[in-house]
Amino acid sequence: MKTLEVLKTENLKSYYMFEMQEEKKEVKAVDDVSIKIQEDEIYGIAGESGCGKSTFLKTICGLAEPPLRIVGGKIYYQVKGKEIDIVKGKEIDITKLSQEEYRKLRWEYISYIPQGSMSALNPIIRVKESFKDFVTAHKKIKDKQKDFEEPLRKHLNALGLPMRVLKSYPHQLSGGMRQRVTIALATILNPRIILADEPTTALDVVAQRAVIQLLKDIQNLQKNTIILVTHDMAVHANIADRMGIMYAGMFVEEAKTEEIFENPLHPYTTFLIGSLPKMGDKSYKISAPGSPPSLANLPQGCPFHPRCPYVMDICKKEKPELIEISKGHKSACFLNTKERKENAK
Amino acid sequence: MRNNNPTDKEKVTTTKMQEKLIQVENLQKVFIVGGGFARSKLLAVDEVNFYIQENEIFTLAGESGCGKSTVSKMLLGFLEPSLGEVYYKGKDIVNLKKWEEKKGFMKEVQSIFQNPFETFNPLRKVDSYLRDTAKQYGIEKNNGGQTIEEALRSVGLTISEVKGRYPNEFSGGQLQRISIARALITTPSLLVADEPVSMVDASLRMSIVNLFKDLRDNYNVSVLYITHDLATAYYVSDRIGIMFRGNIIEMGGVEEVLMNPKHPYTQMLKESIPEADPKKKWSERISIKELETEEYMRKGCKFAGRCPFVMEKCKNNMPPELQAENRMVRCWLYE
Amino acid sequence: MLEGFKELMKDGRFKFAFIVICILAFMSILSFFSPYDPLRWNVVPRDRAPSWPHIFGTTSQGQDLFWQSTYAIRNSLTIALIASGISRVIAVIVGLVSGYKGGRTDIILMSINDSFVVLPTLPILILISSLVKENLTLVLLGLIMSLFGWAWDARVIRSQILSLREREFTYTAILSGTRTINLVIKEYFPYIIPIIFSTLINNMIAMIGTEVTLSVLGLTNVEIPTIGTMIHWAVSSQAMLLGYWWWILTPVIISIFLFVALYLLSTSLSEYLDPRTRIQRIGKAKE
Repeated sequence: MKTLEVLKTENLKSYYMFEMQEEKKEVKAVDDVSIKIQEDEIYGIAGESGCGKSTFLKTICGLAEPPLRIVGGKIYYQVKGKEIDIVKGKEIDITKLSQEEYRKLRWEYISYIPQGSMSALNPIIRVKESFKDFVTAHKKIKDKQKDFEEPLRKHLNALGLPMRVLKSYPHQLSGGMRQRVTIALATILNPRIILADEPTTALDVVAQRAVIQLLKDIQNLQKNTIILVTHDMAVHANIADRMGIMYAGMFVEEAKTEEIFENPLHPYTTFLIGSLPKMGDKSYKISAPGSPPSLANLPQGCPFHPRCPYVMDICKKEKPELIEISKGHKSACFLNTKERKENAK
Repeated sequence: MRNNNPTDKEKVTTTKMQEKLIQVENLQKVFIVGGGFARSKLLAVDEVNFYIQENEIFTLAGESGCGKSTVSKMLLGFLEPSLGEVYYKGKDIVNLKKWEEKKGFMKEVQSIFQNPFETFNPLRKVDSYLRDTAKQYGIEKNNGGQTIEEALRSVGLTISEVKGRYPNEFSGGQLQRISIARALITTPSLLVADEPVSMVDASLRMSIVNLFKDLRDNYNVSVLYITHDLATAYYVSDRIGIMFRGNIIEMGGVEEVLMNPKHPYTQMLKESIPEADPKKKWSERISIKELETEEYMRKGCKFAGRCPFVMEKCKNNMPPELQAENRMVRCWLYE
Repeated sequence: MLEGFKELMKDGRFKFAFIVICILAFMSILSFFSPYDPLRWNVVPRDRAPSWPHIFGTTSQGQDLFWQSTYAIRNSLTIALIASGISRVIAVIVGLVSGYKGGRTDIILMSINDSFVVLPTLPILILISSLVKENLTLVLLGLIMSLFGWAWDARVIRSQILSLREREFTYTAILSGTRTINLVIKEYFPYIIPIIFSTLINNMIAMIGTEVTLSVLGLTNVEIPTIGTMIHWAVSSQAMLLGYWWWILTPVIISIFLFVALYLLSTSLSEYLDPRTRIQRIGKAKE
């Protein structure tokens, strides 16, 4: 049973704080999020641009830098059987662990692949050097062959990458190949959690397929956890075990991938799924109407209510909480709680 | 601008009645890569032939770096071809030297680009581009205002939403629409759309792509849709050409090519499209072992390194344009 | 414009620089009301320490230091402005044409450019100055110095143009029917202007420094009062040895204030005008 939690957030709030011309502005990118991520699973986070999913990733791996600040809540990692709270009260307390410990923790435990990371490789050195720089920063290498070359070769082989990439410079590789190399780089130290922010955006279908295949292989090999953020529902359908749908800084639905696609509970999820074109189907499709609210200026009550076709009075006043509707399926919508009450009668 | 002809849809299928807007013949582009002693020639576009008709949406599809953007740049006159001709309504537009001639061409053939945030100068107001276009193409002052209004309305926006605002005040989808509106002000016959939705959220792509259908059906505008997203290509195109490493390897009606692909590469592409259905995951693995530049340098068919049906012939000779089941295919399997 | 100015005044650096420059500008205007002819000697008692009415003191040549300074500031600024102004114009034209046209034009222009970059400014100026010393008017000096100030900045502008040329909005402008010259002005100038401003001010600092150097060495027309010539006279008349501290301190302190003010003006202005910070300011009023 995969019930070991590897990462947990409790009422996490992470805002961008700006001060422009004596006006304070709060962009509520992560607004009261409580999520549990398990070991040995691929968790997908879906949502439109600007819903806060990238910020969520940055926050949970401790990369929240001003103007982004953790305003409330807790983040727990499960390291070697111990729970470590990396947030102390209202401030990010990176110094709870020493700098050394924190850095080690970062790349051995949790690995972050940022968006557009195809440009993350140092352009003036060969790929092999990038790998070497990375590994030596985290591990002592006594025997070059045994500690570095062998594991590197095995790693690349297991991931289906040709050895020739090691001798190349980044600009000699195509975008898709660079992305795969970056993922290989981020996973060479066997991290327990891999955070991937839009790893397939800007790639064509073939490269995308290769990247998704790569991520699946890594997860299979290392039996770790991947948290994958993308707006592309089709990618989630192919790789995610469980999914969370984000809207305006909060999670509005969470369930197993099959459940999400077969039985979406939240109206926004229905929109996300219905707006995708399918091969062989030329019937007229529409996008979700309207546009997401500005995170600096959220509407009162449920943030989705201005666009929701099923809006009720309560939606305009109160913000729904993410609660379990059926086993393993959570939703933040008054429609579902109303139905549950009616079904219980 | 709008011609309410409900019968236009029928016209789409009768090819005899459609004039050829664009005819591309034997187009080639060679780039010199590297410098000093390590120079080499990269054949980015090789022997490309296709045409685009009135009132149709023609898609040029393929992976990133297959040459499709290079083709569109040559078509628009932003890049000089190494070889080959491009005709617009019968006229050679490759060698246009005079500004007046170039402008006359641009009036009829407009373009939008991939990155909506780069399409407009971040330091300029977005509506200034709309006014510039109206003014510089001689659309009368008062009429100009009206034309701009109509152009915005056709993409689902109003002048009040757009007036006086800078690009960073809009979302990617909105900017892309404004970009299309700007292109429509000159009432072009052809709109070249280079990856217009790849930087827009998957859930919002349909609204932009539906616009192209609307343009074709109601505004007499053909669209050259350049993309790597086959799902939207299937949804919106009439005809499609699949490019691989500089060659068009399969071309024909979108129903035939995408539902019943003949070229092994097209078959692989089709299979690689992720379906938004967890029950339909990919069953086979793909393996990409060659670096992109190596594939470009191949003698013979460029797909030979990955092709499951490869023969000796393929490694040495580039297959010519062959016909198979009412589409064009460049593959020795169909000789 | 007014809001821009108010914004800038919030920056302490700009405020200080603006005030100092206003004071210095005021002093140069005062020079038109000077009761003493700057070229004449012995119009006031000699070697007086600062006291009324000679608030900066007097020189060994019997000149009032305060009124001399007003002329000095005015002349130094004039030379600097002429030199930097002309070199901006050359730099912008060369940079724009070279960057936008590319090809052979670029190669030719950049070869000429690089020849000017490698010229050793001071030795050549010393040579020229020693040849034309007596005929060296302010304007002539400014013109000659401007030839040394344009080359480096032309390259800077050229690289900016090169990168702008590849951005997508260039193509949007072309498709909108905008021709080359119009395009460069409408699309690129907002990016070039900050470069022009910051290099202008930096150039001025360099020009004033060069003029001071030449004058102190006695290579300019030392009759004309400038900051440099004032120092020259003070040094050659042994002011420090004789204890006439006001004579040497006056031009030195003025030049320090001038340099510091120009430098702070340059940094605060270029930060304000930088497209990246401007983009952040744009549209925030709408939020």
